[in-house]
Amino acid sequence: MRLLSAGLLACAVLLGQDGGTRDSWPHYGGSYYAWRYSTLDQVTRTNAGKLVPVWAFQAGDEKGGLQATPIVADGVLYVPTAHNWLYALEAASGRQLWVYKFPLPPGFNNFYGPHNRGVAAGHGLVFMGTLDNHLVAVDQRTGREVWRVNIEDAGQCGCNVTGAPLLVKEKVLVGVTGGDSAHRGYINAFDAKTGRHSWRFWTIPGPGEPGNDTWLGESWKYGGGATWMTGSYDPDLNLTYWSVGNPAADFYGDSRKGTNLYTDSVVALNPDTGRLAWYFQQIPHDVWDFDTAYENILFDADVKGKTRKLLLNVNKGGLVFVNDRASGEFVAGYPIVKHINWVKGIDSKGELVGRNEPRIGKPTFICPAIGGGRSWNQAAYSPRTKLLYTTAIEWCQEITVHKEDPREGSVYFGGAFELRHPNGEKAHSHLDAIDPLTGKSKWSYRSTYPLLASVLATAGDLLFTGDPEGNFFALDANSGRKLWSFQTGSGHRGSAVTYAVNGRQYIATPSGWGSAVAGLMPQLWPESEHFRSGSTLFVFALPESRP
Amino acid sequence: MRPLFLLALVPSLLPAQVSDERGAQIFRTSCAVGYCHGSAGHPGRAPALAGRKLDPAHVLKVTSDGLPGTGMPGWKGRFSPAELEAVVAYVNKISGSATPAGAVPAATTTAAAAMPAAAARGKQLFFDAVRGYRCGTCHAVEGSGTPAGPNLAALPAGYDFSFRRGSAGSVRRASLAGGDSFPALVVEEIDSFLKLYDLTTPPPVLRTVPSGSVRWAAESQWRHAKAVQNYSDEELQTIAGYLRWLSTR
Repeated sequence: MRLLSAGLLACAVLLGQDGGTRDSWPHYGGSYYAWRYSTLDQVTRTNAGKLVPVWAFQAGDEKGGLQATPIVADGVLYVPTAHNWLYALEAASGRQLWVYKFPLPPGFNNFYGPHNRGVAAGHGLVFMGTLDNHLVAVDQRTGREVWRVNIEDAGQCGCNVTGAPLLVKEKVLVGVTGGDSAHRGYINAFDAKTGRHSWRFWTIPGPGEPGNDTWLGESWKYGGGATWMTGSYDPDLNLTYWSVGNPAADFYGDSRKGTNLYTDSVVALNPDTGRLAWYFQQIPHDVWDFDTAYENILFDADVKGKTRKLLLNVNKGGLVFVNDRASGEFVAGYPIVKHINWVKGIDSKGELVGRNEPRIGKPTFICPAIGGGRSWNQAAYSPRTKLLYTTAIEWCQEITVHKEDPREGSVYFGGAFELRHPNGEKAHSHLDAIDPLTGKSKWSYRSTYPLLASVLATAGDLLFTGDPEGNFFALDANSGRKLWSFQTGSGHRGSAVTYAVNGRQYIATPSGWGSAVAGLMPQLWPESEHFRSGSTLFVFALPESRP
Repeated sequence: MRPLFLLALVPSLLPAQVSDERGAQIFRTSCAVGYCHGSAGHPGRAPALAGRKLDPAHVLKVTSDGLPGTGMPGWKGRFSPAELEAVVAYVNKISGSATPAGAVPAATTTAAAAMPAAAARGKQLFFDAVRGYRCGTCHAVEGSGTPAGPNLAALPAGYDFSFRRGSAGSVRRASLAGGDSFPALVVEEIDSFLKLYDLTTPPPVLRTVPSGSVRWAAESQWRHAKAVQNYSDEELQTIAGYLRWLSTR
């Protein structure tokens, strides 16, 4: 019976855009379209209150928390920890099948860490980026290392890989951190089976390439442009979409006058060659560290009576941009936060108006804060409700710009900041259900502390996410009403997933407080300095029906 | 009148004040940044420093070497000795401890400073990120790079630095059971698995294959000349100068 309903469901889904997951969770964003939406509907609004924990897995690597998105394939769940320990677990029972611990150099540390946000799986291998900027492939059955590549010396570049790679056909695509360092960013593709380098897309064009003239003098050499989160992919258009982060120095822009391509842009690349098909720059000459770095959600929708293939990107500045994903053409833009003053708005061409730039040597009050109008934790899109579910944070800061010269591989901010509450109210956070084309809110769920975990949407019209206090909870996707909650003992900074084994739907969430943004919170919420870290995976399901 | 008054005062204040300002400035641009320490030692993602009366020896060690397993990098080698001294003094000041005289031992920090300018230029070329693939892509020296190729930091006297003619050395052609064939450098064999670098294209790939699955051909057809094609002859000579300096240090 269960099998039959799953089959019918799959048929129904195939009629529309196929962006939902089924029994597995094959990619970082769920499907290639990065919806973080599952077609599983065993757990519903009616029975969600009955969810019980069925197993927990303690990974034992709690320093830095657990920021991962697990991958599930063929009944096996793969989860990486902060220091690049990669576990394979039986998805139904939590039994450990193997663990691979990447051998980090003794005494190793890095500004961008310690954390890891996910892996990719396919071709019988699991692919993981490392804290010291390697990409490694391990055997999916045994956990034995098959190949590893040092992408670039981590000490020299001041960069590494914390985001999940993306597997597209025969290639593993992987980004890089380093947007706050004197470093020049890139996206790399490696042959999945051999690890051989296939192509590199420099996010900052070199001399003689189009766009190099958007950088003053030699500033392109150390201009940041990190690709620290995972791209998505449209198989029909054969384009992969990656977001490029802020230019460096973050706040001091006088030495890099120009629009600074392709920082703060979405780039559409041919995954076979790395060739640029189109780009759209959201923030020319960013001086706020408001990365266009997050996920690209690929969805189809009617715009003025015509179905269009769209791409939606929420950036760190709290703005959403919607573009045509075939051409890059701007379609819509709107804020997801109330407290926003770094720009006045977006015009009909997608250009920013009314820039409010921080000043050299004098504090400038800017909203949102550097942690973002939203952090990197992903939004979800449900094709059933046709709504975008995203978290948002209302907080501000005072930025003081300092003139700074680059030193290769060192942090390169060009300024400092201190967090502030917004005018007239306490800093807080919310999770909203919004129309992806207009930004109009259908409902809003308020949280005392910043919501820093990804959202999961299911065909049971449920949303799952967690908060910094350790609560993992389910909301009604139509109303925002809380239906169920479970205290996991440590805050949420990762991404829950859902999958099914033998017809039973499971919901798995990392629990383990940590991260750079979490570390900023004590400036506004002093008590959060004592929030406990952890590194545990909790898995929930409905109680098994007895025959 | 006023300028004269200033001139009279400044000299007596100068030494302490300059070091203080320099330390504060370095702290502001390298420590109280982004997701790290808060300004003037207030809490950030990294621990608060103000008023904590930290042990100066601990401050020096952590500032120099970093804290393993955390986001705190080591600044030895990135800061000059004078900069390191200034920023450690500043941290001690805001934490409420005094820096003992001569706290920063010169030996930990002066190696880079002692490098002759020509060698420094060679080192810069060796690791030149602008050209994408560089010497450091396949060789590790001074703790940077990938140790696929031979150790270049301790070369024998009379070493032949003709990088373009350079032989294939111990590179051999490996053929795997599945038909894959590539120029390879063997690293080690553990439990009947072979670890070897695949040199088909940079960066080198450290592959692990079952020992029994490899067949070897004597001629690898791999040439070092191709690996150094990003450099001019003059640049290669400068790099040779750096390596000569490293080996005779």
